[in-house]
Amino acid sequence: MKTLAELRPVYVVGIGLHPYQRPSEKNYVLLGLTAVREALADAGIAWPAVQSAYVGNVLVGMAAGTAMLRYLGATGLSIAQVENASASGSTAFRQAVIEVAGGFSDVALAMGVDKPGPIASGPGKAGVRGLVDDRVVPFTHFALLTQLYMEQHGATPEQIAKVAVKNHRNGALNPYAQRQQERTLEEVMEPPAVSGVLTRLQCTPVGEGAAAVIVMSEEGIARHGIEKSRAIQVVASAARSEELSGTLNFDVALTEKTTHDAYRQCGLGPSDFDVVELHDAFTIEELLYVEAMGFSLPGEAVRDLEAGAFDIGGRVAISPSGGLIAMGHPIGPTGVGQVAEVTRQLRQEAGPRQHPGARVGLTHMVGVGPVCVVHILQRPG
Amino acid sequence: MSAEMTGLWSVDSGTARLNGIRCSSCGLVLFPPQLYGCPACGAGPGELIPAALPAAGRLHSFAVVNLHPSHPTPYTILEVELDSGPLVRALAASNFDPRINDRVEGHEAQVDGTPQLVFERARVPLA
Repeated sequence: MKTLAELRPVYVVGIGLHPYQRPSEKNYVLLGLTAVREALADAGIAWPAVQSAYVGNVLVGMAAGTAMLRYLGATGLSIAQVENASASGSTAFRQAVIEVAGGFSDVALAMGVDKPGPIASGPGKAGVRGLVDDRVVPFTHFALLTQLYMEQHGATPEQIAKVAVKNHRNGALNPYAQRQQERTLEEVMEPPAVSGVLTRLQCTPVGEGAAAVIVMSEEGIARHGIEKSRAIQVVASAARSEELSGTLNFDVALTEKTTHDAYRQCGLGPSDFDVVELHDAFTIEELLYVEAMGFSLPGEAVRDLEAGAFDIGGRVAISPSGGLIAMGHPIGPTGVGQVAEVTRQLRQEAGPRQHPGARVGLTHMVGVGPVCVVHILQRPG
Repeated sequence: MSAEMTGLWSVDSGTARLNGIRCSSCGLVLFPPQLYGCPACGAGPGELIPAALPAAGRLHSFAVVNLHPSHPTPYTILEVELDSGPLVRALAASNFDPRINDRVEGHEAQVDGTPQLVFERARVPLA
C-alpha cells in the first residue's frame, strides 16, 4: 500500500462553509452552493478549473451532489457522492486527495452538505438484532462508555462535562458554529441528564450546513497562480474499518490504529501537533480519543483538560472550532469542516480562536460501521 | 434456520440461555446470532453452530436512560460481559441498582407488556 509521501504532494488551497445551524426551510442546494462559492473565492479560481468533485452526503439522497453542482455551470466534471456515515465528508476529502496525489486530477473539490431527515440504515436492515437495539440510541451508547471511564479512572461527571465548557467557549468564537454561546459548568450540567450522566449540552446538535475544500497538486498551484504561503499540505491520509476488539470500545480501538497509521505515514507523533479536530459528538469521546491518539496518558485526559492543555493556546488545541459539540454535526459536511478549520488555523487566519503558531494539525472522524478516517495537515516551511 | 433468526433466548427449567453461535473454525462465540459468516475468521454459514450461552456474567457498564422517542422512561441499560465471552446489552430488572463488576444473571420478565430477558445481581455468587 502506498502513502501520500510516495505520491504527488497535495495541498488544500481553498476553504468555504455555510454556517451549521438548526434545520430551516433553506434548501440543501443553497447550503452547498454557498460553501463551494466561498471555497472558490478563497482559492481565487473559477468553477471550470475544478476537474473532479466528491460530495459527502448521508441524508439528502441519491444524486444530491450533481443536482446541486450543476448550478455552478455544467462543465462535465467527474462527480461522485460519498456515503460513509459520520465520516462521509472525511472520506470525500480522502478521495479527492487520493485522486490528486495519484495524478488523475490537478484540481479537485471535496465537500459535504446535509439536512436532517430520515436515515436509511444498512445495519438496521441486516437482520441481526440484539436484545435492546432500539432502546440504545447514540447518547445511551456513549453514556455506557462514560460510566465505564468514570469507574476505571475515578473521573467525576463534572470533570467530563468540562469538555463541553471548553468546546462551547471555542464555538462562541466561530461564526460558522451552530452553538455560539459560552456555557458555564452549571449550565452544561443542568438536569435532566438524557442518559447516564450525559446532559443535552454534552451531546452534539445535529443540524444542517455545508463545507467545501479545494485541493490541488503543485502543477495546479502553478497553473492557477495560487499563493503558496496559504497552501496547506496534506501529509497523511488513513482510513480503517472494524477489527474485533473484545470488550475494548470499537471506536477507541479504531481511533488508536488509524491515527498511528497516519503518524507512521508522515513521521510525526503526538508531540508535534498544534491543533486537532476530533469526533467529539459526546463529551466522553474527546477524553477517550485524546488518550487513544497519545495526547494524554491513559486515564489522564481529565487532568490535562483541567490544566488547560487542550485550550486554544495550550499544549495542543483540541477542537478549536468548537468541535461537534458546539460547531455542530450536520453529518455529510462535518469531516470537510474539520479540514477547513485546521487549514484556517495553519494559515494563522482563525482570528480570535487562533492557536498561536499552529503548524501541524490533525482531523479525525469515526462513523457507524465502525469506520475511522484521519488526516494530517502541515504548513510548509 | 434462516439467516434472520428470531428467538434470542430460551428458558429451560427456569434457567435462561441466550441463543448464540460458536464458530467451529476459530472458536469465536457471538451474540446476537447470525448465519452470514464469522466476523473473526470469515468462515461461512456451515461453520456457525448454535450455542446456548448461560445468561450469566459480569457487569461491564450501565446507563439510566431518561429520554427516548418511543419507549417509556426511565429504564436502565446494562452491558454484560457473558462468561462465554460476548459483550451484550440488556435491560436491567426494575429493582436492580447496578454497580460495575457486579455478578449478574438474566431471567425472563414482562417489560411494558412484552417478555424480555432482564439482568440483575446474581442471587448465588458464582466463581
